[in-house]
Amino acid sequence: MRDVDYAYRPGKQVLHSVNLTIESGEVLMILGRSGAGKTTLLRLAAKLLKPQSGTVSYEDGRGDEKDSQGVAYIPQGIGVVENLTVLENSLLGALGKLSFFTQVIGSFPRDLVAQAVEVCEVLGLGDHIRSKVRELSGGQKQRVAIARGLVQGARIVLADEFVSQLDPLTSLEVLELTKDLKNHGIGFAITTHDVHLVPKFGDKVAVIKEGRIVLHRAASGMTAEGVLELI
Amino acid sequence: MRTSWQLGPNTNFLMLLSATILLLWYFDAFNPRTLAKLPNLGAFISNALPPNPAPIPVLLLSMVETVMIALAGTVIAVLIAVPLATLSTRSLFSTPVTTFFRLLLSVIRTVPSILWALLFVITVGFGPLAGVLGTAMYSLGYLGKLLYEAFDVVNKEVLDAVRMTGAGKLALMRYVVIPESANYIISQSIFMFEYNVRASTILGLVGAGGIGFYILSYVQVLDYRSLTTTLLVVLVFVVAFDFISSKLRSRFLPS
Repeated sequence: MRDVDYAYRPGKQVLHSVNLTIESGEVLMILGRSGAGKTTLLRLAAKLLKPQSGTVSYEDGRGDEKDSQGVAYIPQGIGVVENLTVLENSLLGALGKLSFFTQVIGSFPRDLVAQAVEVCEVLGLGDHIRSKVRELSGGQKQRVAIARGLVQGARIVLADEFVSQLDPLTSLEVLELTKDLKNHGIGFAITTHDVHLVPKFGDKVAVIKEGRIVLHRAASGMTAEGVLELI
Repeated sequence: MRTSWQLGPNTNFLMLLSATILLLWYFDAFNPRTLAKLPNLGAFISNALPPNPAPIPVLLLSMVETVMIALAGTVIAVLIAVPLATLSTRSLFSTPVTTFFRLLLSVIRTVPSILWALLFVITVGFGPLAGVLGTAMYSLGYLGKLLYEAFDVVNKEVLDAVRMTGAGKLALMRYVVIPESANYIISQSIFMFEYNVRASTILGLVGAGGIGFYILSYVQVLDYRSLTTTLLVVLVFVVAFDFISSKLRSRFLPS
């Protein structure tokens, strides 16, 4: 994101000249108070909102422009389809790989189905593949959302308030998972209120205050108290 | 600050009652000549009782035809209402598109079912087919509206998340909107069917099949005892379908 400004209404600026880079293979923790602009920032990064000025672009390692296929988005409410099964939700990640016709008739090639099954198994959802998502726990639903992103082939996962609705133990489990995935080259941008997560799980940290990035640096050496002072 | 409900229910009720009396007076209800006709009701009832059991077999067959008309009409309406409601969904399509299809559904809704049935009697001739098509058109207007209102409130976060996978609008409809609204679609379709069973009983008045034909015939030949039997048959079916419908719908509605 380069020099991004955003306002929902004229005169009500939410973000001011935001510059931010999210890279694959690392976890960026984005912190800020409620209303600081974290969700707006992530929605802009997902290109679900259009900035008033500035640019949002996806680039590969050589700096060439890429489409949004490599970016997955997990909203605050997790964004899974409750009435579909775990496997069906995971397969939704593959929709972008299908033609218009096969999308609509829902004809997923066998290799994609096999890949989705494998992803579910790796994420610990193997026993729930045929279960409706509404029957799962919060932590399992987060895993389903991650599975969809992986089937999509995402290199970056934008996760809004990723673990805020989970109990502390489940939060840790899900965040441990991001560590594993990071080692496979997947990058995460995670917004959170919880400063204690930064030293343990973040590679980089960004603090947003009243719509401005006031800190963007490596997380190593940062303490929870140090981050808290900046929020 | 006093609000209207703080005036007390008695005041509101008295105002409503006064307005109703005023309307009845306006419609000539207190005219002595009108009041003099009231004993006709007693005469009608005495002529209509006891019910004549002779036409029961034919009435049952005719009521089954009425239910079939309602069923076929509802199914056709659901099949057309889902795509039209999709095109009326604001979270998927632009304002000009949704406005056009909402207006279309509104126009369809404006025409009463009996008029649709009449239109199809003219188009395809007398018989149950006209009833099916008339029921379908009328139901389409209502179901379309009920469905697009349900589609509009599907969680936009889910739509955003799936949109990011590269899903097109129809795929979003198929994999997000319809699954998330499935219970509502089923519940409203059952309700529409139940409503259509009741509504289809009068389609025969315009020659569009079903038991309405017998209602009209018995009125025309002043056979009020058979008319009573007809109405009782309708009552039994309608009550049965109300019961079945409410049981089925409760399975698909949140508790």
